[in-house]
Amino acid sequence: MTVDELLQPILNTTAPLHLDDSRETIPAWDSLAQINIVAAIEDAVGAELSTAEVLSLKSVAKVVEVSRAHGLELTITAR
Amino acid sequence: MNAKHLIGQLEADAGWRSLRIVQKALRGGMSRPESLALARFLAGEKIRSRADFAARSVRVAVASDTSLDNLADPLALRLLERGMFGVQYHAPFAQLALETRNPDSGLFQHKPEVVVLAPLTGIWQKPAGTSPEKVAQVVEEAWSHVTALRKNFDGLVLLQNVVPVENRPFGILESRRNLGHADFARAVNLQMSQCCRETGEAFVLDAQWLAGQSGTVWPGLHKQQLMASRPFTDELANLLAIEIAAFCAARKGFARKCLVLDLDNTLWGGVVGEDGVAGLQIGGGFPGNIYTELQKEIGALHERGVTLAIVSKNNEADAWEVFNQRPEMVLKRADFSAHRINWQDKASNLRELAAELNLGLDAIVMLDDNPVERDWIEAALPEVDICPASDPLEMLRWLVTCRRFDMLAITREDALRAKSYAAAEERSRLATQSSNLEEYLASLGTQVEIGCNTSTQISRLAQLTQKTNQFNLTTRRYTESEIQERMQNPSWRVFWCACRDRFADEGIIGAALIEIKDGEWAIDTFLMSCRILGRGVEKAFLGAICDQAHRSGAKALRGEFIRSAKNSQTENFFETCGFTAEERTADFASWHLVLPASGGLIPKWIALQPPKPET
Repeated sequence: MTVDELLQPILNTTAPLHLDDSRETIPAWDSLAQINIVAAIEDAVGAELSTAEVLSLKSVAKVVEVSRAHGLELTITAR
Repeated sequence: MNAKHLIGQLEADAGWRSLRIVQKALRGGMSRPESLALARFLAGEKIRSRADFAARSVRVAVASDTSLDNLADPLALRLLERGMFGVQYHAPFAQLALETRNPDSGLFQHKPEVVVLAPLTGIWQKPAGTSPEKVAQVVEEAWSHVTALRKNFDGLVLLQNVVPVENRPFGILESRRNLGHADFARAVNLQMSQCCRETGEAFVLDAQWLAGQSGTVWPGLHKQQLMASRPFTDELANLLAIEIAAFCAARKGFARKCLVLDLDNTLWGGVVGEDGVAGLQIGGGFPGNIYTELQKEIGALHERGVTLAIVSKNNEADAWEVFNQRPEMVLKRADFSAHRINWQDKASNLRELAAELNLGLDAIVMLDDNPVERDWIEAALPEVDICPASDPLEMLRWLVTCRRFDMLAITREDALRAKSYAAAEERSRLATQSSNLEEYLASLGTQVEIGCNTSTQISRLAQLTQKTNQFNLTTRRYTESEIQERMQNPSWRVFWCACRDRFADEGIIGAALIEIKDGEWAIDTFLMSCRILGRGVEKAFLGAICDQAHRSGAKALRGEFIRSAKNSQTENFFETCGFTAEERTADFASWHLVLPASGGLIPKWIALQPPKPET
């Protein structure tokens, strides 16, 4: 799975997402999107994220890191 | 960790240390063959021949209109999780009616302490209407099994209610029918609860609620039902086992009484020493609201009578500042009966705390987010039950579902308990001002009241027999119906003892059961809540019973001591009360006292109220 496949529908964008993208750079990444990102990762890895992981998900880099910790490797478009 | 290793561990020592290792393995998830091997071992003769087996065993019988035999293995493991060994009997397939009515049945021969009746698991396989009239008929039939069982059984009865099934013949129109299948099940269950509540003869084993939790395949549509008429999935059987184990724990004195809490990242998010009082997460949105919910849950337990305490590595002043300065804190400083907020190791702190509260370590549940601290405590004090979670949400879920503190009744005394610990603090402040003990005791203004066969106190008296471990001469546990039966039996007397002083009303804190045999009063049970000890109330209680015995014409009083893991402080109680020893071994002793007793037992600093007439 790619980062774009996971996040683009949630963040309502077709632009490729990069590791340094975050809540600060993407206006659509609001608290509702945050819940959808958590749910999407949980569905994909088949496990529940811990509270600390949920709180850490503030950038694409963190999304990749947390997914990896649960065995899901998200590929990413190079800038 | 494999089953073979765990079995070896249990064979070497069946104490808390082994139980914790098993518990950990169960939490980590065991493969089915391994958990089966362990369950088989727990059901076997080898473990039953252990010397320490009796104190931890509980005899359970299960009878149903179909088959609940997939309950046996999870129940063995869940009982073990609570520190008990289950000795189980499962009635043959669909033999519920016969087993409850034949006094020579396998069920009665098993001599159970707890009976699980599941009379309606197969209700959906019988062609039946679901009219409102049918509800009463179904409940009446189910209840007949309880009535039949009660003729020869006075232990704990758990009556399992109905699980709604998949079959909705009218689909989305079901709720327009009178009654649809789901509504029918609800109506039956409501009426069953009402029967249990009003008669006190049984407790509902709420399979309907648990089925909602299990979120799995419908009862009638899964493989085990079709292959072996087992109406419950393994997931549901496991949840039922947890619930039954909680009933057994409450009945056998294995319910926990005290919740000890860490502070940083447990009661609030963040570390007060690093983040500062204002930087802590509590209240507001996520994740502060998790801590709010956790505190609410803890507060509810406290209201139910659970004692709260704090053990935390912190500067004490910092910790109290959070309580003082963060209005979002649901729990207040006064809710905690004791605390150890310092930099000592937590095992030593817990030991001290238990001594201060006069509680056994096996009465304690601990919440601590730090896995290193948890491992340390678990290794040093295996009796303490520790929530395995670090994540606050998991901790909250564990606390809500753990069933560690559940009792068979909640009494007025449970609500008084928190005040009682606060009063104890004031009392000890007074003690430091008094020059001698007797003067101090006299200044407390202790008033003791006793009563006999008072039907309104059945719940509290049963609860006392189930909970009291330390000042308990014989540690015999009784259900409410057993207490009631003895109150009505002319050759028994059930005494209670209540106590108040200038600091607190303690409510009913002592119980004594007397059997009258050959003109003598034999003390079957004599116990006193440990927070009262040290004020001579136990002697006043026994003294008052002596007077009653003499007045009703008894020639002598007899008393016994049966050793348990906890009651060594009562070993010489009868002796100090002037009784003469008759028989004495390491674990048992008996005494008698010829009446009238010379010399009063009632300490002069205690005012004894005259006993109330029997009601």
